[in-house]
Amino acid sequence: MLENKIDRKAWFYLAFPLLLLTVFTFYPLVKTILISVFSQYNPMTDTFGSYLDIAAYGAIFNDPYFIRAIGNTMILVFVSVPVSTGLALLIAVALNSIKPLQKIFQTVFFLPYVTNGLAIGMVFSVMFSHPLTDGLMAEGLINTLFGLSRDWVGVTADRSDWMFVVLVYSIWDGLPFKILVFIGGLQNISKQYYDAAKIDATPKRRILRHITIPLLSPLISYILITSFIGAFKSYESVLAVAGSTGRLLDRNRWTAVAYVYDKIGNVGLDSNFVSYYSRGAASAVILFIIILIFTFINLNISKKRVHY
Amino acid sequence: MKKVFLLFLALTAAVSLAACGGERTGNEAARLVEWYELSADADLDTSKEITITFWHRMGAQSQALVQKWIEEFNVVYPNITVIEEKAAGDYTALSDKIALAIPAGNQPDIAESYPDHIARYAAAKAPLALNNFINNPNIGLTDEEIADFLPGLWAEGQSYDDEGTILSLPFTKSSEAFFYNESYFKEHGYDVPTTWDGVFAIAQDIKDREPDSFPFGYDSEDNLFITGSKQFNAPYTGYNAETGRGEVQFNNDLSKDMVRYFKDKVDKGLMITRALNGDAYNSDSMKVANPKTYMYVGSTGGTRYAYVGMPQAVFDAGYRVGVAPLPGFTAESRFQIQQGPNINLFKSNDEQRMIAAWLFAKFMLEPERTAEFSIPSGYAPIRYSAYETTRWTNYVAGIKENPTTMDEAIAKLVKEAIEIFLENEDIFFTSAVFNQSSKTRSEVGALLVKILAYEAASDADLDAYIDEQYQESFDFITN
Amino acid sequence: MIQYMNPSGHYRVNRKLKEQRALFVANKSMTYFFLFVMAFIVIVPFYWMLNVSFQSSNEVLNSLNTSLFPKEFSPQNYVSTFLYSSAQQGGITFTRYLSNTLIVAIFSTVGGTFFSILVAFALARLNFKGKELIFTILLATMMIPGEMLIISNYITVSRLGWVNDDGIGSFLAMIIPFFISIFHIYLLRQTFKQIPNELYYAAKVDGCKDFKYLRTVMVPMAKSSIITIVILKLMGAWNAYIWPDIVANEKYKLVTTWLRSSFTDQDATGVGRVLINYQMAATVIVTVPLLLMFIFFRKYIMSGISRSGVKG
Repeated sequence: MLENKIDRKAWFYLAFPLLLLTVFTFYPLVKTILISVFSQYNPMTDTFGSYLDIAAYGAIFNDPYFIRAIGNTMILVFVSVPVSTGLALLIAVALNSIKPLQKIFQTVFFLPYVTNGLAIGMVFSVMFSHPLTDGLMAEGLINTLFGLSRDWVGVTADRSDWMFVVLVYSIWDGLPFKILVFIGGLQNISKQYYDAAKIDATPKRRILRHITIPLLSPLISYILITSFIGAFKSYESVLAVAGSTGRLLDRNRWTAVAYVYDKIGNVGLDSNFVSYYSRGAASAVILFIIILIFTFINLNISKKRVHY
Repeated sequence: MKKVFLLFLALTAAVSLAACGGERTGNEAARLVEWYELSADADLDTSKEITITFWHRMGAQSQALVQKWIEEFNVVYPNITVIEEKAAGDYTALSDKIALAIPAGNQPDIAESYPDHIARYAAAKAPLALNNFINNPNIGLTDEEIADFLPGLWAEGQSYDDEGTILSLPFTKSSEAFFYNESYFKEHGYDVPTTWDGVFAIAQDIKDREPDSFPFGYDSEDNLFITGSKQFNAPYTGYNAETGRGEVQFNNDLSKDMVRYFKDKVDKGLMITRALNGDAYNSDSMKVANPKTYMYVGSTGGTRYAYVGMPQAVFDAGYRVGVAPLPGFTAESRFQIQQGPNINLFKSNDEQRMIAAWLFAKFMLEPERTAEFSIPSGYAPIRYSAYETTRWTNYVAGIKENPTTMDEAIAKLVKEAIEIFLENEDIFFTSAVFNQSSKTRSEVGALLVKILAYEAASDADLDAYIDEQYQESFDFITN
Repeated sequence: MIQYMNPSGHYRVNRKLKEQRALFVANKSMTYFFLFVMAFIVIVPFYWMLNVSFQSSNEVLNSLNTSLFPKEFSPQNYVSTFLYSSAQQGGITFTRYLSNTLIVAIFSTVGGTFFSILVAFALARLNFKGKELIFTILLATMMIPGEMLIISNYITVSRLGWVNDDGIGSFLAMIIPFFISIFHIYLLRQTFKQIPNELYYAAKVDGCKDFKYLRTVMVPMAKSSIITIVILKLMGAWNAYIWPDIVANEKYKLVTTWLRSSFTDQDATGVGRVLINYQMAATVIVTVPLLLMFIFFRKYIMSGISRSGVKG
């Protein structure tokens, strides 16, 4: 009976946050959708113009760079998120199982958060650099270690090469947050369960699969869903690693968000008299829909697999 | 969830239905921004308290100078309050901030800017067209004063359309210059080259002597493409005859020939650019005990780096740097690009504010002040008479011809770099400014790097690659 | 839970114990090895930051430099970094940047955490119409790329008169728009949902009001998640750059602005090279407090909370 009672006071809890979110997140979202259908929107005067149609969408689907950007993003999402999550889980579990040095390790894994992004970029470039002309600068660390002469992220790099480096970076970058959350979650799992398993002499792998993971499942689901959403919006990570001087990203390396940012940074109309900004808005909307669909799928899977 | 999805579908359907046909147009007027009609008897209303804002990205030294100028300005115009603000750390951030401010109505009255930024502001018709201010009998500039501005720099303020609309004024200027290892040149009897063939003849000689070197370096690939195009007379961007607006024109054979010329030199190991060298500056390869580079083209704003960072031992051994204008394809085609910020004004509802802003802008550009600004910064004054002020002549007199310390050497080199402006007024050019101009610039830089880095199997292969990349770049920009 | 009880004889148990011990040692070494490798990978950029921060300006101004260890060890960089502050931007000192950032960080964190707890509670425990819809819409707010929000929010904030305000408006502009983070709310909601329903109903039966229950039971039980959120919010406010730089008045800008736009060599109007040694030294100065904070809070996250309270 208590379960069905409707708590009207819930709205007290929600009112102020919802107000802020409406003004600062929903309103921009709705405005973005509107801009995407007013295909001559002028960002400098904030006027919508008189053309209400889906020309902006037509323009982006005809744009090969948009399709490629979506493709690049997909690869990023479906490789880096599962790998990063799995790795973080293993590290968190490992951390939880050792007593000495545990505190030091925990601090170490937090370090990426406090490291300057520039420094990280520099390290990656030192590791993966490759001089385009022989004889002036030395090969990067990885090339030297493995005796290669490969252009990983430079101008002549193959897609598989720079994508690999970007994936390594994304996985690395996502670790601290995930580890932090999993450690917090692991602490919450009542020792009762582990002690019972010890008495039964259960092997480690079984403990992992049948106790730890199910009990952590709400957090795993949280991490997966939020990381997927975050990965769909990848931009800074690709720019940091695979961008060229002047913080530019070659158009074949664009992610969906890179495409959006490029378009909204352009003023005026393209050759079909569609506003570049509207094209950017349209691509943001398409990205939004894609993320929405995948999140929906994710949530549905979670409903079956997550145990509270 | 389902409801949201259905709602969205419904919206999409409704919108697609509403997509009626009809011609899409983007017609534009001949003038990028209409000239503000300032009446001939307009003048500052000295009884009114006026406040204007000036946004810039200057560092501490220059900012202090501006603050000093504001005090001097207040002596002449006590009713005008000028608020200067360092609004951002670099020009791109400054331009972004202004672009955000314009639709919100927060834009300043004066700002530092580059021409490409103004194309952006012009989409809202925000920049102020200065023609009628300049011509105004009370507060404008006399013909003499206009002629006092270095002509190339003055012309940049009109590069926005074919009608002579003036949307910016030069503030402080830089360019590129040809820096060379003076001591090495003396030692081997080289004359300072005036043509590219001359440069590469010297480079070949050096390469024979030092096979591991890359004798000539060019820092900026964007500038290389643009300057090369101008020198080679290959169209890069220009004004469309019908619309009077700027357009992209680099997809032509002359341009490809120009690129092939330099590609050939890169392939022979005679030349290198930053992107091909892991983004290292060419000056850094030159100022060491075992130099790999002996001449390079770099920005005059970075003149100091020809010496700064050099080991003292190398300097003491007699290493000195010389500077000259850029070589050309022929001795007559020595053009080089001009860079450095301008200032522009913004339209306001209050005419008095615009007049006050104009007066302050004029004040900052007076010969004394432009000289005062240049001396510490290494950029060039924008008016001829600045070079004749006592301030400047004293500065020049203080330069030692035979420097014995690194600071003296730097001061000498900076002065020589600035004097390129004074002595070579005809060589400076600017490109057309329009919506795509900044995109075009970065695109051709990337295009050039791709071609220079390409390892061709044969001449035909290279040609095909060049054609393909040019077309792709062109399509990308104009799409 | 009793699934794994094996009622066979002693013999089997003994052998199993021996195997267990061997496996135990092997496992532990593997675990340590694994952790060491991962830790090494994680430390490298941090080491690089320290490395560059101790290099001399001459070294960093030469762009060909990639040495693993400073050739000219220069701890005076750290002192110079402090001195750099007052000369550069808008005349305000490093301590002012710091205090601005502290104010923004504290208010965002305290306020944001408070509201996150409330909303997560409502989503996890309370029953109301449209709960699923609201949750999905809240998730949807995470799906928009940041730049699109900036442009629209700038106009909104400007209309409120907060942009470039020489006063509290600047703070409001920096704090309010991105106050509420569904990212954190979601985490809390998951944790709250793990607290058994029975506790809630028991409390209700005893006549306990929702808010009291939240305060006295749920918050303590979710302590580790809440501390995690506090840390994340603090880090977020500390590292935020783009938005605060755009909306705040010169005098109210944050440490990140100081970090990124100071330290150019002799300010040659735009061509001056960035002195990365100073920049890295500045980063170390700025982030060491964060590290210390993490070490301090860590024991609160790591102290386990037994979930006893419900049997069976």
